[in-house]
Amino acid sequence: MSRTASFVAVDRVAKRFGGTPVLADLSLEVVEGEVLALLGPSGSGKTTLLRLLAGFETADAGSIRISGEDVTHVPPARRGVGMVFQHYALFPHLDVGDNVAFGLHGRGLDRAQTAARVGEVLALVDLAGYERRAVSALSGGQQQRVAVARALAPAPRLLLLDEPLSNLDPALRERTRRALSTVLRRLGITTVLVTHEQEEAFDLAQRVAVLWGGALQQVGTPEDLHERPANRTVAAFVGRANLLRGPLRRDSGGAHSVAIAAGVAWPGELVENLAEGADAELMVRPESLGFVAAGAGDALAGRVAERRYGGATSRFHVTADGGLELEVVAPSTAARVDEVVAVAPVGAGPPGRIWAAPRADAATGAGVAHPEER
Amino acid sequence: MDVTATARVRRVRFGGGSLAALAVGALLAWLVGYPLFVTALEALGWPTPSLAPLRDLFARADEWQALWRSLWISLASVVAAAVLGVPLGFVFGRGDFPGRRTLAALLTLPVALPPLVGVLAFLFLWGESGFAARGVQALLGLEEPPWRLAGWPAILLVHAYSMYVYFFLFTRAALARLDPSLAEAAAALGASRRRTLFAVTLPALRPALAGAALLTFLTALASFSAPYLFGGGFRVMTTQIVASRLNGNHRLAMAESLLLAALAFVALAFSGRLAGAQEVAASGHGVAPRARRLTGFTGAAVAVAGWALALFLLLPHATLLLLSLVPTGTWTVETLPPHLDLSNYRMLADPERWRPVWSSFWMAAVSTVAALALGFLAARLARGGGRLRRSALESLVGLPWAVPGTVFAVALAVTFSVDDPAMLRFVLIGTPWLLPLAYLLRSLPLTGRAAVAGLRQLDPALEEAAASLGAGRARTLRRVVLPLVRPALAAGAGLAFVTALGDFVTSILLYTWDNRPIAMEILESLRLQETGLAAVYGVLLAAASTAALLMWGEKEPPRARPPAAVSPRVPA
Repeated sequence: MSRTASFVAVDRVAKRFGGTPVLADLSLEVVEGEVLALLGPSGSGKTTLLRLLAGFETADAGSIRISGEDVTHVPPARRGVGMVFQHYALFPHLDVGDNVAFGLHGRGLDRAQTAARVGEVLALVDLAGYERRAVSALSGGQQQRVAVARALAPAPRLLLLDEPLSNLDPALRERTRRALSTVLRRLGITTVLVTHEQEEAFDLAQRVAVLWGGALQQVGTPEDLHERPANRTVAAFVGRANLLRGPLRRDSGGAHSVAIAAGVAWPGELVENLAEGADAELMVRPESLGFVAAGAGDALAGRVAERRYGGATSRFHVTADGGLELEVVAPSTAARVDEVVAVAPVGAGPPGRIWAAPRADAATGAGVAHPEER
Repeated sequence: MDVTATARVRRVRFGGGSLAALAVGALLAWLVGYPLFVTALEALGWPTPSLAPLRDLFARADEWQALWRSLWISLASVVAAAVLGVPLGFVFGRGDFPGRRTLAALLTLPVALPPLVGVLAFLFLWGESGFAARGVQALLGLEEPPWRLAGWPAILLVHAYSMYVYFFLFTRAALARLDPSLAEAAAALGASRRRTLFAVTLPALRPALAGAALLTFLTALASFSAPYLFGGGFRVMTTQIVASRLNGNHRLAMAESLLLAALAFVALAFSGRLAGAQEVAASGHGVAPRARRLTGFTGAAVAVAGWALALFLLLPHATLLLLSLVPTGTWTVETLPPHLDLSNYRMLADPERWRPVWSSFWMAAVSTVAALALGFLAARLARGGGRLRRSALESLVGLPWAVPGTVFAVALAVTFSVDDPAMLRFVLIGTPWLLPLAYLLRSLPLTGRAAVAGLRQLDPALEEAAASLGAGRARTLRRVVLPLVRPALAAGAGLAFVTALGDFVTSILLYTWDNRPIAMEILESLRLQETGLAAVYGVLLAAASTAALLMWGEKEPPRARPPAAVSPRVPA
């Protein structure tokens, strides 16, 4: 098998439900053998995209190719795509073995070959010998693994996972995630998974595609998304972000900064074309900020409003003198609540990012933005 | 290994089948809607339509009287059935006492008793020469029987006995579905038990109670056996229609049928308003409704009362059995039959006696299988389409539920007495095929609703999973859908079979000598004063009905452990 650049190619796909556009003009490529996560909040279109790949929905416009074959109008049964459903969709009237063997029907396998293949994939998910168990007798984690085994049994060319861990309790989720990650890496099967949890996406996938409002915001490695978010949507959805507004400055060396308060300008990489003095927004991660000595250059004075203890480091919420709200990640002993502090970029963590400030009607403006507030 | 390459090429069309839906819709419209339409036209004097037939109808005092009686006896039946059934539903839905499950099963027995057989049993239990009357007469040394069972009190008694089951079952089921945290919330807010009952529980039960009321009303409106055997001069619409038809006054029968159907539809429309908001279903977590363990004196009292009630409800069955053991002509003035033997059963040695049994069985079997296939097909096609397709198919399947059997019998007799293939009318009257066709139509709502309910519980992700695993339509149907909806289909089929097996109301208008069913044979035996033989047929019918319901009764479908929540079809 040759490694092609794009094993799955989604080309300018659009989908509407009853007049409401869910996906608009979306293009995306998946490399053979990689695990790609579709990350986004509910309503972002990620599940629709997955269902388009599976063939349960048909695109209104655009095309989908898998391994060079145009599958846009190919029914699910002929796509050679395996799917793990959010609630697993195990057939309750069939036992584990018959569930796993379901997709092996009509492939010219005799009874012994089928049994061997079933045993093989069950062993892969650590359920060897579970063939004759009833599905209802399994725990949630075991059901999830049966669902994975069932999808893998016919050796699909593409594996789709719809929120594969959302039905598990937190303790089990961590363990199941690691097991799933091991299986995917061992098989090297091209995989697209849908999740709304950043941690899950970062842990399982090599690349993550962030969807928002039916549009693709950015595709990249977890590092790309965290350190070099393409826009404020990605910055706010992936990790936590301080979004600070002010006029754009440009020094003689060509470095950019944003004047976030009187006499205080913090540096960042300019992401889009903006003229000096333009209304800009600086995104800086809490771990890129720190407490500095009072009166240091470009430090913002303020008071610690709250400390969220997190072991060695804590999250500090600082209210600056001008009313700005900031979040800082620093050693837990760095400051106490109500202490007067000075905050500045300290060179740790990713550098800031600068883009045009949103119009007044667009969003919240300055402050700490995280997805829950949207 | 590359298994994908060997995958057979199959085409699965999702959301397809528009042509199939159209074909099934047309077939259903012809079977269900067309006869009613033809009857309505002919009642109005087609091809020269006028309102004269209706005017004639309304000019007759006896018609008004029958209409009024049908209406009030049906309303009274609703009240009587509710008074019996709702408290029983509460006792069995909320209380727990020794023998609760067995008793609850016994309480539903009246529905397993075919109408004519139930009336027959009532006649010989509570009638003026029945066991009860003779017992009281002997006990008090009276000259005359202490009461006569005739007219409206008799009809009402039979209706209450056989229809309280609807209220009982609906109340119990709704209580089981009710979110217990609602009552807990009311209690936490300081509401007394009485206030909780009236402010929270009963309003939440309103849709279920409205459903039971509608079912009771329509059943009572369509009831024929009780008014026919007990009514005497007390004529209601159903008996009026049959009398007109059997007297050869076909046009009058058609007009009366039209009127009765209109009354049923008015009730149907009215009930929607009565039901109010959507049913409050259990939402999210919460503990399953706890049955209150009744202990001490209350528990014992409820248990004793419950068992006494069950025995009381079983008296008709016992009467039937006893009656079947009384040789013809041996029981005259004695309180209890002086002589019991199996001579009535020995009459069954004559193969000719088995003809009606065989007729009923084959017609019930054929009509049930056809209704099952048609109902499932319609439900499946309804699910795949848009709102219009769904409501059209589901209402065509459900239509015969609202239309009294007598009306359908008249409509079929009218429509299929003419040979006009261009108008899709054929002569079926006088052939053995018209009666099974009537059974089929009456079974359609039972099998169709069961299929709709079964398919609704089916997680659509299961079919998608099958498709993504390479299964075509046929294999998905055979290996995934049918095994999972089988319990629901079996329950519907069981009810349909039992209804057809014991049918009297359509049979009396449509039977021929060749396919005369058990009910007609019972009627004939009664006419010939062979009550023992009538009882034997009744016992056979009741036994077969109970067996069919036990065999195919409602069972829980298999479920995956995390209650297979229906996966969202809306994009997330």
